[in-house]
Amino acid sequence: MSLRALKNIRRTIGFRLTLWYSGIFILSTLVVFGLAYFVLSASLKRQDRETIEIKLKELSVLYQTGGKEALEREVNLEKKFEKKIPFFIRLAGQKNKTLFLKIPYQWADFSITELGRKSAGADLRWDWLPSPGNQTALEVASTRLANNYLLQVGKSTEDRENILWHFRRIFIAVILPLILIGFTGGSFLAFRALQPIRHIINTIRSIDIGKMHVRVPSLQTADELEELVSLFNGMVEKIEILINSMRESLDNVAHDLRTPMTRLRGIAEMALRSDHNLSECREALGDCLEESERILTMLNSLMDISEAETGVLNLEKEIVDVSTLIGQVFDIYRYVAEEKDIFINVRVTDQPGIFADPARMRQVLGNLLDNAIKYTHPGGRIDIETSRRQQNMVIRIQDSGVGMPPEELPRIWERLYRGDQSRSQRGLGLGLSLVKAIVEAHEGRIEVVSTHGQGSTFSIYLPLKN
Amino acid sequence: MRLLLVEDDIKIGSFVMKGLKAAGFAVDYVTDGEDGLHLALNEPYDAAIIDIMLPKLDGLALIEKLRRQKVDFPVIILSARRSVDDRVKGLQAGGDDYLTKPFSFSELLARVHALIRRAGKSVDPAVLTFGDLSLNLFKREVYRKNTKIDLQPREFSLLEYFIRNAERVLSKTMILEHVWDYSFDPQTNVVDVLVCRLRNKVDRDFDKKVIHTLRGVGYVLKGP
Repeated sequence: MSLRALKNIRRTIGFRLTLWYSGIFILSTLVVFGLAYFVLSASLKRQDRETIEIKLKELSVLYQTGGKEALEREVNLEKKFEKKIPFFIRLAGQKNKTLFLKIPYQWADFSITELGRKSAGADLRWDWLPSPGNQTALEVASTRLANNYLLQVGKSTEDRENILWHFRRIFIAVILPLILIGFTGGSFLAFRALQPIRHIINTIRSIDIGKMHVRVPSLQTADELEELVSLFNGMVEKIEILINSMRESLDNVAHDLRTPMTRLRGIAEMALRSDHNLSECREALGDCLEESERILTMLNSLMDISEAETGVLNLEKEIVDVSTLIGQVFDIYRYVAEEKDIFINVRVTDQPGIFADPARMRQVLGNLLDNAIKYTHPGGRIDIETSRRQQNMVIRIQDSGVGMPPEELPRIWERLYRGDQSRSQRGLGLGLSLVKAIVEAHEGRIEVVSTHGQGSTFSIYLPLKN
Repeated sequence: MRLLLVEDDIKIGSFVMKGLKAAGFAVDYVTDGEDGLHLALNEPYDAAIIDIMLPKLDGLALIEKLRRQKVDFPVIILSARRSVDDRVKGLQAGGDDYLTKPFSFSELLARVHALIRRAGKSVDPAVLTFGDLSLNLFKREVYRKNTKIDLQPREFSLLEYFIRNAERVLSKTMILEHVWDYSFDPQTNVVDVLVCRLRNKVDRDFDKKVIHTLRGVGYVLKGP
């Protein structure tokens, strides 16, 4: 099981980020150390060689002026004042015969005879004599003197090897904690960077098991991940609202359909229980058909309202000329108005178009005009007019009808609410809810002013198309 | 006239079949898309009524296959979905008409007649007659028993629609869609008012009434 967990960890972005981070961190540390080591060892070597060269020149000048004795005297003098003679000094005659040799005892192991085998020219020649243990080496510079003698000055690399060895030891002592720091830092950074993503994953898991109210905590970093988090939260918010209102409207629809279904059932049942009187049965069947028609209309309206309210109503928007719309709706209702002897006065001034779904807007205007005709007494009058107010197109439908008492006004937009006046009329109590939902789905609003006994004025405000 | 009916709901299927047979059609009724395809490709039909939700092969795919095989009799789509999108999809697939469930049978019947007539491309006569009613489409004049009747434009197109579909029941929705060219779902019975006006002009002063109401279904133009 732990093996599987390990495998899973290896697949995570966090783990990979950590590996990359610490890998790059360690690699750059190595490069820095390598460079420092190289520069240090090169400069130490150069320093050593310079020292040897200076010594060699000094001694060779001494030899030219004072001969072998001066050389010996100088070396012995040096020995007195300095605790440790830093140099290997050799003077060789013909056939590489050693005439003078000064060698610190630490270096006694070196096989000095190896030196000088090859004949050196007048110029400087460098030789490299490894110690028996190969730990250090003797670096020797040789020069030919005027009498063809060979003067050699050398120095062990021990000192600089010591320094470099210390350096390496420090490096090894430091690299382990560095790897640790790199890995820890990497995991910390990966952890920090991926925190919003982990939050999102956890949130999705919670939502998956039905906790719709859960949101991703914001980290206030104002970066891309923060943006992702806020977009994600916005999306979940929208989905939650949608689901809730869908659930609610489903409940409503189920509830609202029960009454007409009961009626339908009752009519059919009563017809079946009667004594098979043909005309009564036909009457009942007609009632059933009308009732089912009502249920269908109701279902359609309820669905339209729910869809418009939740924002999922499919609006086929286009630029619509309002006067054409009003003309079409007027054309549908003119006979109804004529039959009731109601005068409809349409006063539409030339207006820029609105961006709307023409079929839905016809529904809105139709419903309002329908109401206006229904609640206006014969001989009354209805005024339809348009105007422009700031960035809105205003469509006003004013009737000289029965009006509404003030206490009814706030409730008229409710689903299935029917005021005292409307109970005697046919209708479902859904018209105004639908009107309001559609207008609001078009980013508009609707207002009503009504005086009981004198009439009502409905005003629709729709944003003008720029 | 021979029709193909493809509908998976047996109750709906059988009442539609009964109704169509009573209206004088020969009907072949199958309950899944594959049987429907097989029959449609091998039998000569005048029209088909196809449900969208079908087992084995759905209605849209069935219609698309038929159209690809150059089978071109008119097709009415039946569907429980009423959105504009679904309607558009159905017509794009090659359907000629689209009817949403629940539908009224008389509406289905009228649409079948209309589609078959459209497919037959009969020449439009200048004068339509029904009994002692005559309607001149060019002069836009209506006479009954030599008495001239003045009709307003909407009344005229309603009467024209009645005469063209004489003896057939027309639902309020059909009349609404036909007389006013845009789909609309008014609360008040706009159609009732229009029919009432037409009745007053065409029937009131005559003994023989021709416009009849079928409660809960619609209206029909028929002889006494």
